Amino acid sequence: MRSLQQLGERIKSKEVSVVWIYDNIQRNYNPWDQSVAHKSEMRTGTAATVLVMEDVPKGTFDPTQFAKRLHLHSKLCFEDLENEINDEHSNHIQGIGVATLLSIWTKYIPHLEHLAPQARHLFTNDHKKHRLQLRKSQFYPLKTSDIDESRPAGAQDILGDIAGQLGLKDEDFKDLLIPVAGDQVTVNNIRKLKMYTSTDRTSSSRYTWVLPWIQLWHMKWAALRSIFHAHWSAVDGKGLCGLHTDCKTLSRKHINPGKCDFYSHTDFIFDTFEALCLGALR
Amino acid sequence: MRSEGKAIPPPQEGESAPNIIQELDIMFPSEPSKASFSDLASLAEKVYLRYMTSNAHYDALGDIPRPTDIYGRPGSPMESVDKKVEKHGWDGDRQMANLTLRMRDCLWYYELCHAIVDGDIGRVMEIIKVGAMANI
Repeated sequence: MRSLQQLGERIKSKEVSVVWIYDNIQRNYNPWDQSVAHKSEMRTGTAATVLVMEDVPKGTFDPTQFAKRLHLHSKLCFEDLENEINDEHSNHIQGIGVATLLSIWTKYIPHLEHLAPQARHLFTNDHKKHRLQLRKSQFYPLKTSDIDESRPAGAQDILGDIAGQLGLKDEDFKDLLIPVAGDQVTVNNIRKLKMYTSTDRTSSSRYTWVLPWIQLWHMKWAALRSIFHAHWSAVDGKGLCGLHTDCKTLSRKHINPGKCDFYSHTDFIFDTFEALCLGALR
Repeated sequence: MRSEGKAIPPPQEGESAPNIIQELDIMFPSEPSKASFSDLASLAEKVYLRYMTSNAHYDALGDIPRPTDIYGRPGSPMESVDKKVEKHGWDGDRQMANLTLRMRDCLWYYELCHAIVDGDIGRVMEIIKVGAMANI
């Protein structure tokens, strides 16, 4: 608790930049003797962690500078993005596509194994963009709570709870901008919370200091679901190609595109993609 | 290294088709010096342009002329399996078009996962950018 209070002081003085991460935890409660007062139920709570960010350029999380940057990008239009993707970006993606093919071929074809370091070199040098330094993360697990984060009011309670554990008061948020990360529901609830409280008096109660941020893992999961949504045909059979047919061919029993469990489905996508890349050599 | 356009002979009657490992052994013989990295990279570039881009999807649908530098000389035109489904006179390859889109989407996902593991947030952002445009 003391170290959390110290961390709060460091956040207040802008010595460190942090990201607050929270997600719901659910647990089945099954009493031995069920009665009206004690019955089986799903109990919901929240677990939160504070993560210290590294290599943050000065002024990145300054609210004034952030507002200026937003204003600068307010004129960004679809054509600008499209042009950027078509020009500079397509070369990068093409380079990545070629490097991916090379890494798969050199991984699975024994006679090409000796070229694997050169294929790896493409990712670490030619096509690298912004590699993070390898270091041990500083993170602070917080006390779990019984708050249900599935509604904007729950998000408000959690933000208050985390601030309380770090010893931050309302006036401390005046010059702060804190990324708050979670899944899509969390981001949606925080956006709603900011909208509902937009006419409040203080910046603290308007939650202008909160920057909703979806976590990469949840982003990956959403991308995985979209692949299954787009490429899983309702029927499978001879003469058809697609994820459904491949699933039957490989006898994968735990593939359910409706549920889309992350790890088994990612393995399936990787396996079929690598097989297609090898098959492209035919 | 497999020469351009040289195909592995189809199995004779009564023979089973070679599996992919056997085919790869034929393509890449045991002398490692035969396969140079630049040869392999140019082959990979050709495979990428043929099977992993949005343009390849439109090529397969027959919406735009197929560039010969990527696809080689044109072969015999495709015939639709179910002529009732496709428009009269349409000579595209629907399965190839769908497969191309799938390989493109899977490549982006594969790259997203590997860029995160590599700790290269710049590469992650590049995929997010293109994914946002393609509604991934």
